Order: sequence, then structure tokens, then C-alpha cells
Amino acid sequence: MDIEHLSPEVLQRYFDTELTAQEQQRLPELQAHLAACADCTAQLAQLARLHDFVAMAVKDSSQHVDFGSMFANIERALVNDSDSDSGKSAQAPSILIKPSSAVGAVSAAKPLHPKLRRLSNAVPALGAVALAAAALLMVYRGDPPQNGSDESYEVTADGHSEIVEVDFGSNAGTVFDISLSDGSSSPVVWIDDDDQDDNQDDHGNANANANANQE
Amino acid sequence: MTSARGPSLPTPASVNGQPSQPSEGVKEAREPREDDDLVAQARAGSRAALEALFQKYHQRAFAVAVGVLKRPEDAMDVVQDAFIKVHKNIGAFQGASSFYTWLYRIVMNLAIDQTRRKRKVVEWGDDIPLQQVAGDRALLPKIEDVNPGRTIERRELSHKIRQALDALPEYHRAVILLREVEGMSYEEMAEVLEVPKGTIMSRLFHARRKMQEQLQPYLDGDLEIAD
Repeated sequence: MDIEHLSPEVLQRYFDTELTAQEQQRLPELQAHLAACADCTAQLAQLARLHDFVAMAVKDSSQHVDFGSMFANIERALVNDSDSDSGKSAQAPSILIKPSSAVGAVSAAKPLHPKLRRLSNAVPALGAVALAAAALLMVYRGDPPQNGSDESYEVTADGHSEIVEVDFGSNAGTVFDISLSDGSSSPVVWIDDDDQDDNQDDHGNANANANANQE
Repeated sequence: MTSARGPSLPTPASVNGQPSQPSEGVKEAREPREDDDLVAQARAGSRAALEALFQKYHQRAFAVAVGVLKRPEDAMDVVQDAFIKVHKNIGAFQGASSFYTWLYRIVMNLAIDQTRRKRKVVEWGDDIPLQQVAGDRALLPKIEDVNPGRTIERRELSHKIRQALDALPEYHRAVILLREVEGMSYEEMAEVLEVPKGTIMSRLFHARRKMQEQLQPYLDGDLEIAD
């Protein structure tokens, strides 16, 4: 028994092997029609071709993609997140300081005074200073030497140290000078995240200041 | 309505010689019981289980994400973020749906979010040289007609297909990618996209129609895809 052309919807469901129960009961009829109908077969062939086209285009877009480091990146993100949960920033900021001598000492000392934490809007940014010098020390932010609630800490460098570069990592921040009571000035590296309160945000990211003193 | 999947229904392969269903390898690769075991281990904190799930699905998740997002680097970010979300939320994953559909829901949501954020920034083809997308021309097979005058290079066709995909609204693009790339059933797509099955059928129908209109000259031809 011949039947009318398959509707585009039925053809689609046939192609996708998603016929309804009713349609499935009519399967012998549908197949008989398809075997005899060039139009319906051509439409099915177009659906198959479209399938191949889409798969091909996506495959081409995926060529030369290196997934090699992806899981390592995921693990790193999870570890960082875990650190963040325990009160550390997701990506540690670093401060590059040029000391007066090749063996200039850089040390973490006492926490900065809490009042400095609100100075970030008051600031002339310390301009970019010297570029690479022969003797550079990278100072990574670490745990404060004294485990108070304020994670700020002071970095003191011997000699005429100057801040060469500040990488804020995943944090926001700025660099500025403050005047000290003895008339000298001191650069302050202000590291924080937006939308945080004074101490810690909801995710445990802590603000941190680092002060690189200059003589 | 029940699925007509089963041995009694000939697949379209018998009509046109082209496979329309995911390969056996793909079906095998999402063996639910194996996933359940891995999920249970991952919930218990096994990093190895998480990695096994990642190894099993990341390339396919990427294929769908890149279909939505266009830029491979964006798709990489999405897949990466998706697995981070999986790790963070696997404890809350109740197994009401399969891990597979849960993962794809995360991937699609992230991809669509990113598309919306970047909509005005990048148009496919504007910033990515074809060479970068399709790789070395010498490595690419050609789709050749019997008539050499109608020969079209694969990368040119790929570009046309991409343009047609990009012209679709994202809800159409999503459904066509899940079907044509991932070979999902209507039921699975409904689960991933959180819409009724009827909506999936309708979207798929219209998405294909639009793609067919855009690609008609290529669909009508006798071009052969040479691997």
C-alpha cells in the first residue's frame, strides 16, 4: 500500500530514530514508501549530509587543539581555590624589588598599620621605575610572619631599594607613596580585591599590603 | 511517545550510506554504570576518578562548546571551568540524571553565558585566520566533485558551515550541535537544555531548516567528503 510523502517532521524523527510509537507501528509502510520515493529519500540524504557537514566543521575547529595541559590547569585551579578557601588569594601577587646591592636583604617584617589599608584611593601611583637590573630579588607574598588578623606585611629592603614591578596576580591593587612622620616617604603596594571588606571577603581572599621601604 | 530506537528500525545509514548516529565508540564511552562508579569515587575525593571522567569527556565537551562559541580558546576555558564546577558540585550531584547529561548541562550553560558576554566582541572569521582554524592546508582533505570545476576545499566549506551555524540563534545552535556532534537523543537534549522534548523537536527542525537554506548549494551537490 502506498502512502503520501512523509512529512518533514516524520522524516526528521525517522532520521533521528525517534519515531513515535504510532509511527513505529507504521514503519513497514514508511519504509516501503521510502524505498519507492526519490523525493523523501533525497530529503533524508540532505539530513545525513547536514549531519556530516556540522560534524566536519566542528572537527575542523577542534584541530590542533592541545588538551595536554588542561587537566593540570584544572588541578591548579582547584588547588588555588582550596588555598583561597583557607584565606589566601587565588593567585599570589609578587613584588620585584631592586636592592642596592646584589645581595640586598629583603625580609618580611611586621604587619603594616591597619589604617593604611584604606589609602588606596588617595594615591599618586608610583610610576613605573627601573627596568631590569642586574640584581633583582623576587619577593613572593607569603604568610605574614605574625599571624594576626591583618595579613598585611612589610617588606624591607636594604639600601636604595626601589620597586621594579608589581604583579598583582589575580588581585586588584595599586602602588603609591605615603609620607612618614620622619619626613621620608615610603611606597606602598596595595593589594586587594574589589568588593571586599576590610579583612576578608566571603571566599576567604585576604587583603595584603606590602611596603617596600626606601632609605 | 516512545523512542523508536531499536533493532527493528533501520537507521538512515541504510538509506544514504552515511552514519547519523554516534559511533559505537561514542555510545560505549558514555557507559552510565562506569560513570556512576567514577562519580562515586570522585565524590569520595578521588582525583584519579575525576581525571578519568575528564579524559572520557573533555574532547567531546570541547567539540560541543566550540560549536557554540566559535573560538577554540573560549571553548577550552568553558571545558576547564565545567570540570572545575563538576569537582566543586559533585558532592551535590544526586544522580537523578546521568553524569553525562549533567556535564553537558554545565558546559552548555557556561558556553551560552560566554556567548552572551562576548556577543559584541567577536564575529567568527573576523579575528581568527582560517589557517588557524583549519590548520595547514596541505593536511586537509578536499571535498571533490566528479566535475573538477565544482571542487571545493574542505576548509572553505567548513567556513560556510560555521557561518551558517553562527547565524542561528543560540538555542537552535545548541540543539543542532548536541544532536549532530554528540548524537544525543531528544530525551537527553531535553534534559541538558531543560526544555520539553517537544521543544527540542521543534528547535531541531527549525535549526536544520535554516542550515539547509544556508547550505543548499553544498547539500544539493554530489560532493564527496574524502577523509
